[in-house]
Amino acid sequence: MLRKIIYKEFKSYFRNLNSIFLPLIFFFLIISIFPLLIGPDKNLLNKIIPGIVWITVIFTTLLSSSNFFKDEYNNGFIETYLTSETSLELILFLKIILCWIFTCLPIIFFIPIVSIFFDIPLKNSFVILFTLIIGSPILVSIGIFGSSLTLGIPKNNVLVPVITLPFYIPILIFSASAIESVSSGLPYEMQLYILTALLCFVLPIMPYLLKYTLTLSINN
Amino acid sequence: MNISKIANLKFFFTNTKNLSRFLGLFTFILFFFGIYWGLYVAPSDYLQGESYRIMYLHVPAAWLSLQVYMFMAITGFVSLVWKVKIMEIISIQCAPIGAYFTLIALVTGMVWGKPTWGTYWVWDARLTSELILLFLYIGVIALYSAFSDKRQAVKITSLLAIVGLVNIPIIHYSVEWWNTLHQGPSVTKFEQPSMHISMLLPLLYMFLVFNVYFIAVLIKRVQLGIYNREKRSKWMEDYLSD
Amino acid sequence: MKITETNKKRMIKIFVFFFAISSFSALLIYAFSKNMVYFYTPSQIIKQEAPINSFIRIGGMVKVNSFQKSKDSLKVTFKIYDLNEEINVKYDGILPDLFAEGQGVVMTGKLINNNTFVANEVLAKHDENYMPPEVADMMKEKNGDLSNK
Repeated sequence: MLRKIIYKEFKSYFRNLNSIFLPLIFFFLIISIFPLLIGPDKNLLNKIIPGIVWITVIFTTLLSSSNFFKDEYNNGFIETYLTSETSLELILFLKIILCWIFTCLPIIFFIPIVSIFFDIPLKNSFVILFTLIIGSPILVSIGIFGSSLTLGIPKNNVLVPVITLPFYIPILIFSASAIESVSSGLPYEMQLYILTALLCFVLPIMPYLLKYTLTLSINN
Repeated sequence: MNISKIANLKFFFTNTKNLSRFLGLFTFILFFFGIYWGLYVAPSDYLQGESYRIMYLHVPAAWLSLQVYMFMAITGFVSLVWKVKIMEIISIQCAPIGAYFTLIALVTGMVWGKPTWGTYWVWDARLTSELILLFLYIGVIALYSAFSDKRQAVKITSLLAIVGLVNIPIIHYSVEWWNTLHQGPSVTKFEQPSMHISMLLPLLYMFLVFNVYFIAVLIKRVQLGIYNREKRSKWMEDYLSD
Repeated sequence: MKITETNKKRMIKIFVFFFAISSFSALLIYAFSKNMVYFYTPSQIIKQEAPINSFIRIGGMVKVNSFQKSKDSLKVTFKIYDLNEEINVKYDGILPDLFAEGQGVVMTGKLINNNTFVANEVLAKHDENYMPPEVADMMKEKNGDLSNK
């Protein structure tokens, strides 16, 4: 059962390669629009580019997670999951991880290129990379939680961001401050530890929370 | 079991009409005295002069905004675990009231910010977390109104409120922390906030008044919620036709 | 068989929750054991620990009798101090109402050399004491200058 589900997930991601490449192109589009908006002032861009990278990652995770369970809900797959022998928590955990691999990981791979474009020092770009690796799984799981809340609603395009963005704030604060600290020469390890703490808290508990939300949504 | 639940709603609906009317009037009188106490009787501040008086609206509203959120999450929890109908209605009706309190706290905070900080809005830790609290409330309200099945909606919003309650301390501390990073803590930050008794008493009194107001409005809203849910049931038709 | 299955699930659940909460708190405690630098103090600047010509935050108390205002513009200069050292600050703009000598301030800006700071933004926060003026006077007589404690 588990293997079948993973296979199905992989197939659905690879069948629709757009779903991997479009977020990436979207990411580059937004990144390159910002210099056009605020002018090519290098100092200013250097100061805000980490923030822009993060904003783009938020958009991407929101786009990819806001209809996360929609197909499975409409096909009745969720009922199957709920009644199946395999533990649903494990399935959900794998689904979160796969969603992260296919939406956030490609962006993370391209951070070095962005750093070259904007002339970000190596140390800073490493910190940006670390905050993204630690922080984006949290964003993805919160986004999926938001989408699971809106299952019973036919049109939920703006609703999921409205619900989930407040929950993003702690992660954004610590990531941004880690990046800011490293660029003004202050120590940044503390923020990374806090981010990791949040990750260790959110990621294991999220499958249980999702399972409960799904049962609530199904049993109406 | 089902009958007792209906009876519970019916009992609440039919027995609280006078209570809410009385509480409404009572709040009005209490509020009048509180404003008089805060604006005329209480002395002015040694540093801020008269402008600090806005805290008699600002501080109770800010306290209530948090308290109402807690109340909403706890009643939501009770409704999810023990399936108490009245708790569902109470939980969701808290949301707009709490949002109003948050809005009052924000607006008065901005007005207060002008003379003390020199600007209407600073990204002060408390103002910012209050703003995020407003977003949390708006999320709950928006989620609720998007569902067509309102009973299902309450279950989901209760869950959102509970998760939000777990998150509020995290959000609060992260914003506080962010703020110390961006603005620097005030030098006396780690000292106990102290307030002279002649100023503290009216503040506590206003807090009490706001609480009474909250209960009065909540009862009114819950009545409306019960009416909306039960307007096609027999007892409601019987009751209204009497 | 069925009971052991549910028991197993429950065990896993307890283990996962335990793992989540314990690693969360352990990492948090570890994080907070590291000292966080919010802003540079005048002593650090004199000791040349702060980078010159890059955006930093500094904090300290405004020295009494150091505040000077230019006649025809908003330019001001003053000194801020901490326990050991003091540095000069230049600022061009509107100061917050609660800015006063003896009050604490936090500023963002750049160091132009190791004892002069050019501020872009000056923030003064009101302290969290509220009292009538008479009481403040009384406390002043008792403790010396109130805002200088």
